[in-house]
Amino acid sequence: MQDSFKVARWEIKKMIRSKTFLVLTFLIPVLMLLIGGVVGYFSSRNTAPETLTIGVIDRSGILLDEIKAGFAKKNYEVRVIKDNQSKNYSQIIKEDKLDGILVIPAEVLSENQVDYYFTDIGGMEKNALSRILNPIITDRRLRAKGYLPEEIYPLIRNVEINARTLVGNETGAGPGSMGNMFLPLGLTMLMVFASMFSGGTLMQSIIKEKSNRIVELILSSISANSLMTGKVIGYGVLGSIQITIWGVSAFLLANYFLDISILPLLNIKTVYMLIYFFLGFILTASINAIVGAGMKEAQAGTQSTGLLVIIPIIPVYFASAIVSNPGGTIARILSFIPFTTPTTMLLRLGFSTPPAWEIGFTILILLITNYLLVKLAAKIFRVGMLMYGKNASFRELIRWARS
Amino acid sequence: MVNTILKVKEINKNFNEQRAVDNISFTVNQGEIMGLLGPNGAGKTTVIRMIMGIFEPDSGQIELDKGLLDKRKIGYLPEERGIYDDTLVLETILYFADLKGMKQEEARRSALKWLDVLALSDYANHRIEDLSKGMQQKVQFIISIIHKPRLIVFDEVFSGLDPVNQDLFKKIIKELGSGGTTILLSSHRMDMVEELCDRIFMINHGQKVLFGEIDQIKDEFGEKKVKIKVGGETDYFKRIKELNNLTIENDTVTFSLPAEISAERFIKKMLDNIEIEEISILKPSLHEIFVSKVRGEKKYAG
Repeated sequence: MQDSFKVARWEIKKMIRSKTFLVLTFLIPVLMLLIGGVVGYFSSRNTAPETLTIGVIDRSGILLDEIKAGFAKKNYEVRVIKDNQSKNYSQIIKEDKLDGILVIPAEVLSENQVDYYFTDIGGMEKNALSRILNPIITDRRLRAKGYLPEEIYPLIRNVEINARTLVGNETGAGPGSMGNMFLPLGLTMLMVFASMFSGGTLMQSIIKEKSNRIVELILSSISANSLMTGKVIGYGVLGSIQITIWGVSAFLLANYFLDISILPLLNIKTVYMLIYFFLGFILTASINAIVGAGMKEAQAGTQSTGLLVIIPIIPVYFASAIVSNPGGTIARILSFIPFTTPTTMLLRLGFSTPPAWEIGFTILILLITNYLLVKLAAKIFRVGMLMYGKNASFRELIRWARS
Repeated sequence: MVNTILKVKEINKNFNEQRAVDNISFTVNQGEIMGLLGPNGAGKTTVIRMIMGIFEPDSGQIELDKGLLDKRKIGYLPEERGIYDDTLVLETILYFADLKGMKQEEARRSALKWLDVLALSDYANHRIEDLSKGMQQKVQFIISIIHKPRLIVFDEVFSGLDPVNQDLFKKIIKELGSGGTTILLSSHRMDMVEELCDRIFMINHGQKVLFGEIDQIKDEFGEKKVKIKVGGETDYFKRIKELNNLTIENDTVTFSLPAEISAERFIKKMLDNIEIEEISILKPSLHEIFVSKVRGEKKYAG
């Protein structure tokens, strides 16, 4: 084990200085912040739209004052337009520099229809207009029938539904659980992405050591098992460093741009999530180590063995089934298949609280699987070391593993 | 008293049902420089890898220092030189010293000393890829000896070195040997083997061909090389059918005398026929023994 830590330390030292690692580790949060900033900027602009200048033709002859008052609250400028002009609407819009023309028909109270004309999409403010016109017209109708609007409105307000999840024996997060969804989905995506990148790098490093024969020197000093364990641990730690940097960036992003506070979400489930994250990372690293151990050339992506590395992504295809029913059969089956455990459990933890025994059991499954995979990688590595010039087929990998 | 450091006992290794190493046994004594010879593909590297613990023999035993193999006690300079290219010289040496269980402080001191001996001090913090091939080989040489191993295996240690550095390596290897380090030297450079080694082990087709002291092997080899400067006619030699490798150049005749012909009687008879100005009888060189053994083996195999 001591030898493994020596290897891990060396791999981390080498990797952390490499350009790809630095670029990926720091470029991704910068991109995240940039995108977050841009989205935040535009969404804040959207909630405070610019002033519109709207021409109004009031054929009913009764609503003009109220419309003016209502539009003034929204910073809309109202221009009264005479009805019997010879010009058509688009000419008026062009000449008077209007955003649109609102035409109130004579029988607006009974017809319940209003026409709005506009030339370019910037003048389209249907929802805002209806929010202003609705109360004005409804008020009129109510009063016409002898009701008092201030008495009626409280009686017809909408019912609010508070969604609270009840899975396992713990109450869900209640309203505002957006953050609760954000964290597991984000973590899952990060795990898949980061582990695939790091796994690929690990695979390349193993292939490189094999093809330039450093292996002879290393294996005359330590066992293939220590070497593989060390490499996988090293890349696990690197992944954790990466996720920490990304996590801090995500925290800043959420706090400053999206107004989602992550702090209240840090509970025991977060700890579990981090455990699954780390073990999932190691799992992908081990699978990549196996593929790397069986390959001679760096550019062997098309090999059938290369398909192995996509296994951890499979649950992503089942994500909607897992999210909609985190305690369901599909979710539970995927939890117990080691290769899909980390992603599935991350999603389940985000949307529910799985029973404690399932958490303990799946963590145990992952630990055992990782241990066996690293041993397998070491074995294939030792046999495959002799190989010159060609990549191993899947059948050969199995034969080496047995030898 | 002779102290056996490495004991290889009846080891075998198969690859895909093909026998790579067939029942090989030999011992190496402390402070000895032993040559490991054999043509390409003979199984040398496989034997070395098993001694280095890179893989296990299918059967047989390898003992180091009267115990099981301890990778910390061995050093290795592989023939196929591989080293990291994007790391610094000193840190790479220290990493391998660390893997061999050396304390960092001591490793650093020792590394700096060897870098100085091999004129690499100025490159301690250079990337290895910026070094010339010869310099990279020196770095690997340091890696193989820095942890003061009991046994070092040098596989083609001189290849690619200029004569100055060959002499430097030769000097260091001799010093290591006289300092008590046991060395197994695998090489195709017969002149170097003759100069450095006391004993040799030769392998071909995975099997033992020769094992013993070089002088003794030469005596047993039998064929002696005779070189004669003749006063008059040289046609006499052309008539003797038993002579091997006969060459006649002006007045100098060289040939090898088969073991079954007595040198004494041959010379007496010769003196009756020709006038000799100069005569020398040489033991065969290791080169000749090697070539003859490999050819002979091939004859039998074919």
